[in-house]
Amino acid sequence: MVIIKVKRDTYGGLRYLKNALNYLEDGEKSLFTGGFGVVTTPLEDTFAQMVAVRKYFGKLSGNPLMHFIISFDDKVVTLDHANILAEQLTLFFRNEYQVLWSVHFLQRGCSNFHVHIIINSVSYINGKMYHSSASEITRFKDYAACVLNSDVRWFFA
Amino acid sequence: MARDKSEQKTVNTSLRLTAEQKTEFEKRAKAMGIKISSYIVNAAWNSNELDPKTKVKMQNILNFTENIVKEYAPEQLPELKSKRAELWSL
Repeated sequence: MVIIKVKRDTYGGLRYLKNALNYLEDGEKSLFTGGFGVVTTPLEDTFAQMVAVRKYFGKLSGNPLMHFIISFDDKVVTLDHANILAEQLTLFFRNEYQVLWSVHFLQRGCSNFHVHIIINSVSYINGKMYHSSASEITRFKDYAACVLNSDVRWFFA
Repeated sequence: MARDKSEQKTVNTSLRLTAEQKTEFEKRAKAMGIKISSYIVNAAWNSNELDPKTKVKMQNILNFTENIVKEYAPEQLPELKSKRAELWSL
């Protein structure tokens, strides 16, 4: 069983975005970090590039990000495998949103690896905000189930 | 989270366009999945700036290039990184 935890901040603004990016790139926990439409290091540049997109569309305020935490099941036992799956999962968002992702290791129950995916909630295509409704999250959940070939559950954190 | 007051669109104006201009702007707005008003405002407000879609494409190319440079010519990385900063200021 794969678990997806979904975090969407509604109060912290851009400060929350910076803190979330910081957490992803935590040197102690992060085994691999990837980016689409942004650099992965240094963090200041990743943040600046996401802010640049928001500024272009006049959306510096509002929900700054969507943060998905996907805990792989015990079928994923190597970092290489986790990396490949992480990249495939981010494909769901890349047509519209800048993405930063990071694979972390944490032995918890049957899970060895989990991936954090942060998306800039403002689309770089047209400036629309990501619609974090249950139906929209379920679309991602269904996609993840195909990629991971596993049962997937999700919940808002 | 409510949008900041400075970003709330509270004033309006009307535009006079040729029929051809309206048709073309509607077509471009539809292609982007937005309303014609949003298309026109974005285009005019950011007329001196490269659009994010292009910057994202170029950043992805730079990311790919950076990986190659890291492996084969790491001494060139600082210069590549400074070029990257130029892109996002366009």
